[in-house]
Amino acid sequence: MSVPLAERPSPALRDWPRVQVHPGTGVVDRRGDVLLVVPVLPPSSAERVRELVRLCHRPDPTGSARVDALRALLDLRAADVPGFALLVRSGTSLRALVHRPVRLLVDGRAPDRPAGDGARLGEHVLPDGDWHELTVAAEGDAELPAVSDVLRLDLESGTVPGAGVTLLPTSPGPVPQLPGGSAAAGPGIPSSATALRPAVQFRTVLLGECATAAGQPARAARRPPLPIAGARGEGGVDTATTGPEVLVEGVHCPQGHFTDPELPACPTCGTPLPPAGRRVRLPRPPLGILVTDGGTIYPVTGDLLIGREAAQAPDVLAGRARALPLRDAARSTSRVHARLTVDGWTVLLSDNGSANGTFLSRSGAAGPWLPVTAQIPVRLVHGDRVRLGKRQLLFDTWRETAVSRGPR
Amino acid sequence: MDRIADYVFLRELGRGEHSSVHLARTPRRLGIAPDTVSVKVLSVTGTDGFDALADELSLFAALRAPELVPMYDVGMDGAVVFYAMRHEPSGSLAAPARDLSRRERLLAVARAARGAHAMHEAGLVHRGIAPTNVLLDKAGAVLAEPSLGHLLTQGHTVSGLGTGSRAGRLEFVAPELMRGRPAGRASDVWALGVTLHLVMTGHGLFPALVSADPFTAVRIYLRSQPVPGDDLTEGERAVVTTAVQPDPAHRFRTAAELADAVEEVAGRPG
Repeated sequence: MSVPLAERPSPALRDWPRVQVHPGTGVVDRRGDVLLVVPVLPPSSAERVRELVRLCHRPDPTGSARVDALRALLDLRAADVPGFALLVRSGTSLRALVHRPVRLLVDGRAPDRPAGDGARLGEHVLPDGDWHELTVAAEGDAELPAVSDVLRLDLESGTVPGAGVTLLPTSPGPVPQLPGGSAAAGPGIPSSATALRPAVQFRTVLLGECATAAGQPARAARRPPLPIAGARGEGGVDTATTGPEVLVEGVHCPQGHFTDPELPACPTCGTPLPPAGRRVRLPRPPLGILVTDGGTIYPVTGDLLIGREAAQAPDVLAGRARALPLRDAARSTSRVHARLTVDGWTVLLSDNGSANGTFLSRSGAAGPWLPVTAQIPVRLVHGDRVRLGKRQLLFDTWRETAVSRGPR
Repeated sequence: MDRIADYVFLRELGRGEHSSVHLARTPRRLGIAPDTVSVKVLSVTGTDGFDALADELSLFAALRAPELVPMYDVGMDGAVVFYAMRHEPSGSLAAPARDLSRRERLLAVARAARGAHAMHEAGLVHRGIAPTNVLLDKAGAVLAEPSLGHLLTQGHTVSGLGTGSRAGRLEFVAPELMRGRPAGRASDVWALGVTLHLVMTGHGLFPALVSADPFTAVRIYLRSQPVPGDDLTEGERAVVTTAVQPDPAHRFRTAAELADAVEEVAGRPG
């Protein structure tokens, strides 16, 4: 939760001019060899500015990826991005990338027309020694703030508020001090090692007496009491853990359990099913449970995608399937490793083109393992074990369950 | 972790599989007297369910029942969900700060049952009743906040049982929930019965679960009957037996009925 510490200055940092920040409400961000100045922050552009800062923080050893990303961002959203200047150290010169409206002044004058795509991202190359003072400010500022000599500060690293910057080359001389500066030798400039901590961003909802004291209105409507336990024949299914209802055709066993008409006996109570029971369409009850080797239990009520990042799969996001996340440290499971499809009263398993394959063991024990393919789904039966990478699942349909007797 | 949102942590109070609990300095915006609060930080991230979770906790906290832990605040810092509640320094029934008499343990479970009843009457389900969630205080005990993990990561009934002794946690989940039935009064009554049994005997109702891996544990659990221990008194055994009937219709109709029965047992001499 804390901000990463300021980067240690590289030797190249000594070649940087001093960065004096003008007071103001924009953003000045410096990290390593990159300095970003956004003199004005329009309220609507907060997200774009965060994106800019993130982009500038990205490591970029070649020096071109960042500029390409900037151009791409501007191609997409030039209108939303506020004016900014990005200064990048490159060899013995400073590259200045400017997106208007923002003003760049070299020794008090605007530089020549920029090279490159001037409309979106102008580029100036400023060789060392060719200039003595470089200023970035908002366009239209009548007068630039005078650079104070009273407290000479140098933004070394971090993000601070500011309306612009003035860069002043340091005179060659003794090695400037390092941050934390015990070695404050020579006429070094006191550098600001202050990295402002980003304001804590959080959201809370007061509860109970705190909500009452703050006069906060009730968030949720009061609910009716829960039904009394054991109202006979209550056949509800918990949609919080199962997803939407699906109607299927089935029969009622003599005990009243709704079940698969093709079975010889009721899987819940074991009572034989009459051969010509009346078929009805009703919400499908869960067809079993999947237990992970980590001990998580999932009722099987509809299609499930199993894998390392199953929750991000399009079918899950669209609500057509639920996710069964299965990961391990060795990443032995694929993003979407396998697919469980429920068709009527049948539970089918297929591989989803996984790297390490999906295997099934019918014996109820760990092996022998038979491969499951993507093309031919396998019907899961009670007691099946499934191996996906290094993880395992067990399918259980509660058969053989005794329910009628009480504890002894 | 040294803080979350505007809560500065003083020390860690405990750690579960899906959360950690910290003693924190009370932010002034809460406007409450105690200097410190207990903050639970969930390790399950997922901001989609936050509003549902905040609704549920708001209803819980608005009950202001004396048998329920007072809750102050629920929030999200980044994708991390946390909530603040009264700090109960005396521990829980799972780890009491001092030895409790048999009667004190019975009355603590009865208080938890009264708290659960207050929730049920307001249409709320607890889903997480266990000795760790019966917090001890001067008045006896309060029931901790409900278990809401299902609102953040949907689709599972029980999670992270792990192996070995932790597989014993399975028995707090009423068997009908594994058949996809909704949680409600009956499943909370089951969990109260299991809690009562565990705090009176020190062992579970399904001794075979202890040494089993999750696959075996689930199969054993779904195919065996709860076995109350021999070290219960006759009255205690009768309460446990009624609370953990496999058929929800045969259990105590309400948590208040269970509380009455436990208090009656606690009032008997001996």
